[in-house]
Amino acid sequence: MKHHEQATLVHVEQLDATTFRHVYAAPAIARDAQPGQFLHVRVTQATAPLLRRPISILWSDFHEHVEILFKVVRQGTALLAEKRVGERVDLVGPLGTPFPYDFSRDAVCVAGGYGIAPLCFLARANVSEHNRRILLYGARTASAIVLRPEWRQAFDEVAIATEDGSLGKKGLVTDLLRDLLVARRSLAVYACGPTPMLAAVARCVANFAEPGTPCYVSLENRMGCGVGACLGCVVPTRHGMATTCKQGPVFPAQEILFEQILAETSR
Amino acid sequence: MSCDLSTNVGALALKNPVTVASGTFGYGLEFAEFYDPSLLGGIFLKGLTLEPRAGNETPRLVETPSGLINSIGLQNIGIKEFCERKWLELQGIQTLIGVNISGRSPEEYAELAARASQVPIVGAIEVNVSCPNVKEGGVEFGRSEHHIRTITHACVEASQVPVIVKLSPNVTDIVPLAAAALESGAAAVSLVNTFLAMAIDVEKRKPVLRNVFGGLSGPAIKPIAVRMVWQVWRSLRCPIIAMGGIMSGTDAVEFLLAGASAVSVGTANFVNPTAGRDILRELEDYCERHGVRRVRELVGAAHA
Ligand SMILES: Cc1cc2nc3c(=O)[nH]c(=O)nc-3n(C[C@H](O)[C@H](O)[C@H](O)COP(=O)(O)OP(=O)(O)OC[C@H]3O[C@@H](n4cnc5c(N)ncnc54)[C@H](O)[C@@H]3O)c2cc1C
Ligand SMILES: Cc1cc2nc3c(=O)[nH]c(=O)nc-3n(C[C@H](O)[C@H](O)[C@H](O)COP(=O)(O)O)c2cc1C
Ligand code: FES
Repeated sequence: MKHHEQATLVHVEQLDATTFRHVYAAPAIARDAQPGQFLHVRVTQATAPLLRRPISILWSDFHEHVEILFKVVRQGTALLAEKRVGERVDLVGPLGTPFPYDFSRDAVCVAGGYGIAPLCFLARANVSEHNRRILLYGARTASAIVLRPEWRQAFDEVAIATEDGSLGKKGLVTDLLRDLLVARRSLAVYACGPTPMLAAVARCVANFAEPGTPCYVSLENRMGCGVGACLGCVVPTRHGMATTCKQGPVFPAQEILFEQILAETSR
Repeated sequence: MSCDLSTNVGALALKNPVTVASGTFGYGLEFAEFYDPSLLGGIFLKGLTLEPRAGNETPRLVETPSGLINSIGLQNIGIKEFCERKWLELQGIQTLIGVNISGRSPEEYAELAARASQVPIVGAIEVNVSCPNVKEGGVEFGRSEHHIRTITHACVEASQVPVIVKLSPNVTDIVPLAAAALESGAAAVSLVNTFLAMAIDVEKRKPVLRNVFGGLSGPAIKPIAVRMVWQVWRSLRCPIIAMGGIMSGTDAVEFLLAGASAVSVGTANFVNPTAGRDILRELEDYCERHGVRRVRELVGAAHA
C-alpha cells in the first residue's frame, strides 16, 4: 500500500562530492517497501521546484527505516542534499512495481551509477543458500563506484567495469554481462541504470543468454503524479504505452521498445 | 458552529465546492489509497475521445518555476471502454462524477455526450473545447464563439445530464466565449484550462517537449485564472467551476470570492496526494475563522 508520510531524516552520509545517503524514519513506508520500488520526495514546501523527485529505495528494515542513495543533479536534488538530521521530509511511497525475484536461478544484478540502489536492496533482502547473487557494476571511472561493505556482503561475486580502466575491467558493464551469460546457465538478470545501458543489457540478454532467461529492467522517466494519474511518464511497450510510475519502473526487458525510446531521446 | 459547505453549480448540487480537475486525477481511483475520493465535491475524469488515443510522444512533462507544462495529448482509453467496463470500478464513489470529453466535430461531441451521459454513475458532462495538446479541434474550437455555440448545443441536446463547458484561457477576452456557452444551454463554465507554453533546453538548444508546445498549469497561472473568473462573474453572474494553481484552502477561497461556485484542484494532486482532502479541510477552517455559515456566501463576495 502507498503512504504519504512526514518522515524524519535520522542519518545523512556523504559518499562523494555529489552522492548522499539518507536514512528516514518512515515506518508505514518501511513496512511495505519492496526492492525496485521508489519514493516520491517533496524537496521543499514552497512551490518551486514544484514536483516531487523520484528516488529508488536503497534499503528498508521493514519496520521503521528506509534509505535512499542520490546524486545531486540540479535544484531539486541539491535542496534534498541540504536537509539536516532531524528535519522532516515529505515522502510518498512505496511506489511502482518491485523486481520479481527467482530463487531458483542465480541473480545477476547489472548496475550503472546510482542504479546500484535498488539492486543492493534486492540482493540484501534475498540473501539465501539457494542461489548466488552476482553484481556487475559499471561506471565511467573508479570514483563513481559506491559500494559500502554491507552492500558488497550481500553478493557472492562482484565484478566492476570502468570506461577508463581505473578500477576493474576496462570497458562497459555489458562486456562483463556477455562473458557471464556465455559461461553460465540458469541465470536471471536484474538491471538498473541509464536507459542506453538498459537497452544494451536487453540486447545482450537477447543475443547471448540461454533462451528463457528472465531479464527485468528498472526504467527512469520524468514524472508528474507518480501514481498513474497524469500519464506523463509513459514508455512505449509491446502492449502500448505504459506508465513508468505505476506499471513500472520495473518491466520485463523484452516488453520495452528500446529502439523507439532511444530514437526519441537522441532527437 | 459548523459551516454548510454545499453549493450549487447551475443545476448541479455539490456537497462541497472542492472538486478535482480532469487529467490530474486519472479515472478517479488513482489516489484512493491516500484518502476516500467520496469526500470530494466532485471528480472530473481524464478526458475521453471516441477512439482510444496513445497521446503524444515523450517528453510530455516539463517543470517550470511554480508550474508544469504538459503535452499528454489526451491519451485515454476511449469512450467504449469507459462505458462498457471502466465505470464499474467507480460505483463505490459517492460524489458527482463528471466525464470530460473532447471531439473533432460537433457530431463527435454529441455522440460522446450521449454515450457518457447514459452511464448510471455520470452526473455531468464537461466539454473540453480547450485542449492545447491535440492537432484537430482542441484549442481552436475554444477560440470561436460560433464553434462553442454549435458544440454546446449539440452536447446539451444529446446529454441526459447537465453540460459544463471548459474554456481556454488562450484568448483575448474570455467573457463572450463564456456567454456563448451559457446561452447555448451550458449549466456552467469551467475556467480555466492550461495556458499554451513552452520551454527550451539550453544545453541541447531544443524545445524540451517533443510536441514543442504544451499547457502550463500550477501556481504560476493562478493570478491570471483568478482575473478571468473575476471578469466572467462580473459580466455574467453565472455558475463557474474555477481552477488554475489551487494549492491550498485559501487559494480556493480566492476563486470563490472572485465568483466561482466551486473549484477544481489539478496539478496540486501531483505535489500532495491528499490535496483534495486537505484543501477541503482548510476551506472549512477558513469558514470557521471568519464565521461563514454557508460557503455560498463567499461566491463573488469580493465584488461587493
Ligand atoms: C524510478 C526512478 C528512480 C530513481 N532513482 C534514483 C536514485 O536512486 N538516485 C538518484 O540519484 N536518482 C534517481 N532517479 C533520478 C532522479 O529522479 C533525478 O536525478 C532527479 O529527479 C533530478 O532532480 P533535480 O531537481 O536535481 O534535476 P532537474 O533536472 O532540475 O529536474 C527537473 C525535472 O526533471 C526531472 N528529472 C531530471 N532528471 C531525471 C531523471 N534522471 N529521471 C527522472 N526524472 C528526472 C525531475 O524530477 C524534475 O521534474 C530516479 C528516477 C526515477 C524515475
Ligand atoms: C497532466 C495534465 C493533464 C490534463 N488533462 C486534461 C484533460 O484531459 N481535459 C481537460 O479538460 N483538462 C485537462 N487538464 C487541465 C486541468 O484540468 C486544469 O484545467 C489545469 O491543469 C489548471 O488547473 P491546475 O493549475 O490546478 O492544474 C490537464 C492538466 C494536466 C496538468
Ligand atoms: S507520473 Fe503521472 S502517470 Fe506516471
